[in-house]
Amino acid sequence: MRSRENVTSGGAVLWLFQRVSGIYLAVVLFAHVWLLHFLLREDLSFAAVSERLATPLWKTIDISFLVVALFHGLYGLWIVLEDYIHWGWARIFLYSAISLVALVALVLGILTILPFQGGF
Amino acid sequence: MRALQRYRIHLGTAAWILHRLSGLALILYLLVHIWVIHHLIGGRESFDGIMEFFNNPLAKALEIGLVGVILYHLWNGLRVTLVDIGVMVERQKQVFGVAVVLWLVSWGMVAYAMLTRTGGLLSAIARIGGGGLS
Repeated sequence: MRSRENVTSGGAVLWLFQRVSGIYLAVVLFAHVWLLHFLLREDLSFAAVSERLATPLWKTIDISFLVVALFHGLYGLWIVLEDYIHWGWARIFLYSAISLVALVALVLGILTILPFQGGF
Repeated sequence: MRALQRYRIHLGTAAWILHRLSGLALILYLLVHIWVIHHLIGGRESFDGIMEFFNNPLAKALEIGLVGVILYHLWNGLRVTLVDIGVMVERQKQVFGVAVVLWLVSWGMVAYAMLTRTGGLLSAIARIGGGGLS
């Protein structure tokens, strides 16, 4: 058993979030692949996708999926890079680059999901 | 140097390296996926056009490989989480074995479905065989 002494630092919170988000992604990804590849037994068309995205429930699920997947992935990338990049300026550059990529992908994803409304 | 000489690739180390590599591959896929799906913004023609671009045997085969990478990262991630929270640590080897079996079985099931479903890999190959390379 691990000691619980260090669980108050910021790193520990992020560590916990990486595990919890991983479990969340496992569940939502299963639903995502199941729905898109096996329930909709047809090629994915604009009509099929926009109809699904027009429902508030799917919009919420897909946006949460986007946010959590980006965070889990790019925070994971940061952990990996931290092991190999030791110079201060290089870390700052990479941290900025990862944050920028995250922001662009997040905005692009939300702009994709959000506009759909009923009656398409 | 001595530390380097003593360094051996254990199963756990290999699993850890594969976890990092699969994670890196999945980030790249996620970013490409967001870029592909953003074609929804351009409307029906734009989206159906990009989806048609990926409607070929190579893309569908790569998709089956992608599922394998995802499922590896998923099952190994759950295994690592169990170790981290101290569950079944004394049975780590068995847990590892179960994770590998679950990975291969789940990948096999999804791969079979992706091969045989309407619009899947086999029908994409048949489409080329029947309709010529157009």
